[in-house]
Amino acid sequence: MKNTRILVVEDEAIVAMVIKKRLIELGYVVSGVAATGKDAINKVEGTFPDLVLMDIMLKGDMDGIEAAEEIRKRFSIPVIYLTAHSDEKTLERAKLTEPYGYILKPFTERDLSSNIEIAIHKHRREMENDTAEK
Amino acid sequence: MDEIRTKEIHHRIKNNLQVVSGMLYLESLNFRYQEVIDAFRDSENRVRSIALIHEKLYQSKDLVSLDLADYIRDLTDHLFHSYRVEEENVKLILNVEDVFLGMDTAVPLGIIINELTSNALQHAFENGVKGEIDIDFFKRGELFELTISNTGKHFPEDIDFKNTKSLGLQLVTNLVSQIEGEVELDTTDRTTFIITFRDGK
Repeated sequence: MKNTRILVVEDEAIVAMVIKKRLIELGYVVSGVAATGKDAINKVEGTFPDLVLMDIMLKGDMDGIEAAEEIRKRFSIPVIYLTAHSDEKTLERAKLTEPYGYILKPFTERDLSSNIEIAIHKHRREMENDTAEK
Repeated sequence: MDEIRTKEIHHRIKNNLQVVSGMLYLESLNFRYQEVIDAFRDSENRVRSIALIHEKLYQSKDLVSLDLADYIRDLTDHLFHSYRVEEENVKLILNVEDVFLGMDTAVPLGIIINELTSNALQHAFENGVKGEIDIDFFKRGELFELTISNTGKHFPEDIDFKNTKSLGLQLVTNLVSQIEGEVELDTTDRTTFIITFRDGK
């Protein structure tokens, strides 16, 4: 979807640049880049992106899973994990935060766009259902 | 060195190589000529083939031996994506015995597999040619045998693969000699590269 605003959370600056360029090539808008979990939460609060792409391993005392948990509790914004880690423990912890997607690095543009589109669609449906119930 | 530190080092090397491959990608965005873009992409994939070894090593049980079947699956999966080849058009058949290799052999072998598979995807199956790529890896006594073959467009007869301008094939020839192995090309039926070498461990 055009004009979807995405916050990229990645502590390796050059990897963040690569992700940003790829998103732009796919037609998305990158609302910001955050390097730590705290920074991510601040930027979600300040810029209200439509979606967050979250790396799991982050510098600082909050990792991507903890940041995603906080974002899920406080804001209604879908989070997709973008990570090189596929070990079971991490996956189990990640699952508990009910992510809208899980992309393994190295990823292709197709992995990115299909995960983002599904997440946005799923989130919109959930919001509509929520409103309908109320 | 204790296990945690070894793991940490592999992780960092993988991250650093990922940064190198990221920079190659970013630089490639400044060019319009396909030849230049392709050269960057090949370079990116070469770096990535090494990064993947470190990634697989820190996920491995003993941190020193690489599960080759697992590695080849991930490597080739990535190459299919990178060269935008659909698995419906080119079937990949992997027949890889469960072997574990040390780093000294794994890195050159990874690049060799990367080059021969990339070559097949780029040249033998260009313009939507259909067919299959087979990668076999066996241990026969003291000898390892790696076979990479494809049913695509035939390898050009006027090219001597041991003496060519193609950097990919130069890398293959030189890395094979680094692992003290031998490489042969058989074009009777399909294009088949056969690489044999001894277990270095």
